[in-house]
Amino acid sequence: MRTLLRSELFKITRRPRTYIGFGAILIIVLALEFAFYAEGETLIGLVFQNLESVFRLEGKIISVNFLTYMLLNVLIIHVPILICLVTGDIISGEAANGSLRLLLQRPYGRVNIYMAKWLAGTIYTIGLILFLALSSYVLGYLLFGEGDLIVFRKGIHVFEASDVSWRFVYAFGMGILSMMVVASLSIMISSFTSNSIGPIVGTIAILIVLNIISTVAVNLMQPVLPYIFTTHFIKWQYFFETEIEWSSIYTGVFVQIGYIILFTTIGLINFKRKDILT
Amino acid sequence: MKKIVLFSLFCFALSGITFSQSAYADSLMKASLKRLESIPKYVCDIKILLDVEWINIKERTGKAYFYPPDSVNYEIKGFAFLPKKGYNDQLGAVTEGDYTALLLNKETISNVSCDVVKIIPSDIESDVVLGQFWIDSKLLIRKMTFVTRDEGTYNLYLDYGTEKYAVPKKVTVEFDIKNQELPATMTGDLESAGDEKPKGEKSKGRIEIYYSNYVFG
Amino acid sequence: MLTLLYQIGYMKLLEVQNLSKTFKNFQAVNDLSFSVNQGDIYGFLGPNGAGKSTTLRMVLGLIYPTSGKIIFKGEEITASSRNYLSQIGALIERPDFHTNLTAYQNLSMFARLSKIENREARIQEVLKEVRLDDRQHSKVKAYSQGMKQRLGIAQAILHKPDLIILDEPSNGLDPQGQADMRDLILKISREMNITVIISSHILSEIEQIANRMLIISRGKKLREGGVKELMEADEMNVDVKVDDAEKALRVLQENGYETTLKDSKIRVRCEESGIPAMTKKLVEAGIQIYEVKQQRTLEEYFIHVTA
Repeated sequence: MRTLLRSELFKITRRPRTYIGFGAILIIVLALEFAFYAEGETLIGLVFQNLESVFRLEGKIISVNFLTYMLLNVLIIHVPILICLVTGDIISGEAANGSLRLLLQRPYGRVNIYMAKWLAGTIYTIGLILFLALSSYVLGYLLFGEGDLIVFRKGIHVFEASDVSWRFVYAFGMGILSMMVVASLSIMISSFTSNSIGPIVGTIAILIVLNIISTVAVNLMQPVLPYIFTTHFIKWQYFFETEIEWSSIYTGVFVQIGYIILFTTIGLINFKRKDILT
Repeated sequence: MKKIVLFSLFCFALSGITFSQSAYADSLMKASLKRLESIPKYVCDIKILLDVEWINIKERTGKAYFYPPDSVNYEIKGFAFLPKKGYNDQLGAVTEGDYTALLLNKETISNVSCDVVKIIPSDIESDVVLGQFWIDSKLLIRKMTFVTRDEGTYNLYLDYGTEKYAVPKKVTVEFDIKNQELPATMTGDLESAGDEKPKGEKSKGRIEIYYSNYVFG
Repeated sequence: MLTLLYQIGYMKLLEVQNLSKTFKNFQAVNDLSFSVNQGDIYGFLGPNGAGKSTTLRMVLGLIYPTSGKIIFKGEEITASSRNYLSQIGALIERPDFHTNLTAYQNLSMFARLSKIENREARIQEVLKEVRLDDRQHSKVKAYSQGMKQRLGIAQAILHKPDLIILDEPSNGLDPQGQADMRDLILKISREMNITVIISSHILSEIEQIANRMLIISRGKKLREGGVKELMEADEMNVDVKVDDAEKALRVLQENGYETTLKDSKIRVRCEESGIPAMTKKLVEAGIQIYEVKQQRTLEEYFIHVTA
């Protein structure tokens, strides 16, 4: 398995497409951080207009923590697309270009091959999220320095700088779990097709539709919302409340792990049984 | 005829009493202000506690630097919500120009008997429409109420310690605040988009500031 | 038991027994049986859509048979069998590599996956065999078709398999390229002692290098055996040049021969052993015979068998 995994990681690192994801993350981070550097005070002024009529606001509002929190919101739509670009054709791309045939002629079980691809996709996903964390934190720290974190979530929460690091660790951990669902879904779809673009578009379409259901048809879909995995993509925000709703977080964790297992199992069974015709 | 004379005498006496009460209220106010004006430059430790339904923030600590007559700078660890204007500012806004002072019945604040003085600024354009002050026998203001044109009514309660000057050990500010609504696209809080909004347009809020370790001069 | 039989020489290197594959409503392979001996260069022929690729993919475990058995070195291959693949190399259809990697990187990856000892030495050895050693650090996307085919052979023999399966290895090659490919396959068979199964449309190639062959059509076996023996045993075309072609045609048709007139020569269908009798008939009819030529090509044989 180690040999297979190494081979898969080698293939991922040699594809130019892999670096699109990292490049895009860097651009998003740079764009947001410089935007706040240039216009942040004005933007914050709009947000705090109401408060400034009553309070004198002392201390830094825009800090590395604030920017990192803002950047975590890209986990909802932007990062899933970047993940699909690589994991979506991890099987179908090789089927399309014929190199899957060469791989399957080696003395490795299809289960091992699928799991090696899944692991490689997961490592890429984790790498991308960690890169998001690192780039936003390093740049944010250089531009804005430390400071308390102000979060607008069911009101306003202000967290001391010393009380923020562990929250981000959990938040990024939750983000990684959510993106692993996306990766598992796209790899599963990838096992069903022999063209490169289908799984990528298919996964993104599913995410968009489910996101719309989760956010727009809230009342109508209330009973099923906990079972839609995109509902839990914003669970990382729960770590930024004064009283953390651990039961909701656990629900999100279990549902998402459940989906990872489900998608991986379906993909595995399909890959094991399918005839390789390309 | 007799009745008219008696009535006229009564009115005259009444106006005299009113006038003297108003004068007393004014002098009480001025004496209290003079006590405040005598406060020199100081630095002290502060602790801030905020109580607003939809704002969650732990206590904050730091230092306050006072420069007479009414300038205050803060050095706070982290981010803090402080009252928009210090109590000195508010007093000044009410008492700077012409005003009418009225003496009301005595009231007890924190077990201390106080004269209650109502100040009505003559300037109809003034932000503060009405001020009311509870002043004790040591000319310390124990409570202030300000009725403003645009920002509602707010109360300040001042507790004093054993300092030489008229500086409080605790100030409590009670105020009304408009409920905050921000678009989810700006905050990323997509979950709350469908939540029920808090009842009413405004909420009650409260800030407590504790002052200690005064160093004057 | 099967392994023992193989080891004592009773079983073939590869045996396919009653193999069938149905895709939805289409039967691609129908009760096919054949065997490949150690040391064979085994030609696998058939028209387009005959089921050649499907059969070869079933041997490689890329497609699952609907029914039948595949036995390699005495062991039956099942859906979960994978270890036998370490003894088989293959080049199926076009040689598809990771084009953004160099030849060396591609082979290096396959060498790791095949757990080859002395990887570096072996990679250089095969690159030299296929004459790509001077271009090993070029990206595959810059390779010509011929170079890609040779690289395909290189990855097939990299792990020193007992059997290699080549599906259309000369596809897209010019005549020189085809000649080079033939030489390489012969070298692989003779010097490296690797059994070869080769599927090709270039029948002259099979005729030149294969010792045994299988011809299938519509998923069914038509002929299997030694190339020469099959061609000699069966009827062939014999071209006869005579003075009176029309009369000769009449005589032969009256005697039950299948004949056609081609370029003023008469083409007669008969076995080699039947040629003397056929010419005797013409002589007895007073026809002068100038030339009798056997048209024994595999192409002719193939067209006749698959017609």
